[in-house]
Amino acid sequence: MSMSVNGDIDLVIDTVTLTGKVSFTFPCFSGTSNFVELGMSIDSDEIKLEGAMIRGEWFCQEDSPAKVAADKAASDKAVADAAAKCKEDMVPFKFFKFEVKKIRGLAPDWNGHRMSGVCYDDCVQFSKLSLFDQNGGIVSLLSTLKKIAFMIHQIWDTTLLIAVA
Amino acid sequence: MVASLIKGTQIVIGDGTNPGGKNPGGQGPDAADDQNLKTTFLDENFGSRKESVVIFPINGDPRKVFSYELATGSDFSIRDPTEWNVYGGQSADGPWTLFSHVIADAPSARRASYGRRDTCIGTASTAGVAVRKLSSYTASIELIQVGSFALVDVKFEMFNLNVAPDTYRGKFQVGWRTLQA
Repeated sequence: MSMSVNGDIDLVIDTVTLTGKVSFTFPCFSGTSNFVELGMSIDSDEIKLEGAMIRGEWFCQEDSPAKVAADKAASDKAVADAAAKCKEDMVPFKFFKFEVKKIRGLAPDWNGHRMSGVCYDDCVQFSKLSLFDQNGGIVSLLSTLKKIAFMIHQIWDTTLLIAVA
Repeated sequence: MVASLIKGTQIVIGDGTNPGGKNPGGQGPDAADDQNLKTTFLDENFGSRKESVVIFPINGDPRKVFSYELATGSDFSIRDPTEWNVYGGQSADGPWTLFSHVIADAPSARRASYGRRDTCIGTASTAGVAVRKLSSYTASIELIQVGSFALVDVKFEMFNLNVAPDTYRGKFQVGWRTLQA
């Protein structure tokens, strides 16, 4: 289990401002050491830094089964309550729009491929889209990300070293 | 198989449209709502447009659509939708009300249901991370979207990050704590 965070960074050192990218990956296995990986790249007149990876040790502590169950129950109830309010507030409508943003594709470098000019994996396909006036089942959507979030409860201060090329 | 999953009253919809799409013969939007899993909707322009939109009119009076069901196509699992938005509107031209943003694993089987999905319940998504200064790094994660509400908002704040100013070879002190909103 892991979580990745990516973002831009502005690093001000005296009069120099560096702009770059950072990425963090947090593995999380309970009961053993984990390593947090910090990646950074910097591109400026003064400093070039590519592919620097720094590792720091940290630990996860998993909640008790009872707390996990209680959290899940509370989350499911919150989902159900909010969904009920959403439906209560929903104004009957005349048109339904389904907007596909991503397909399975060919991970990880999918950018669309065509064979002899005919779409191969850059087209979308499905065989059914039906609408109903009653609820679908409440699906517990929280489990994975919620578990990660609650398990990351503490990370020890870690000394990291960046070597600048 | 799919029929056994259907609960509630199915809403009758009219002829659909796929604005900007390119559909081979017999594979337009209506192939998705004809209750025949052997027919498929196909949009060849997804790759170039980076999205595909199908719009269905609801027959009769306006309705509340509380759930929907999607099924995979007959072949080419690489074409299965894995992320989509669900909207309702009073006109085919909008404006549209977004009810949910969904990220889903497509079933591996062909002509298989994704399961009945609640119109109002979306899927967890990670929010963008903006870092403006190193002394105060905040990452926000919205765990779930229900209608326009984010139910859980977990924030991570990184602190105590210092860089030696004169050598560019320094020590980063990195610490994290979790803030639950």
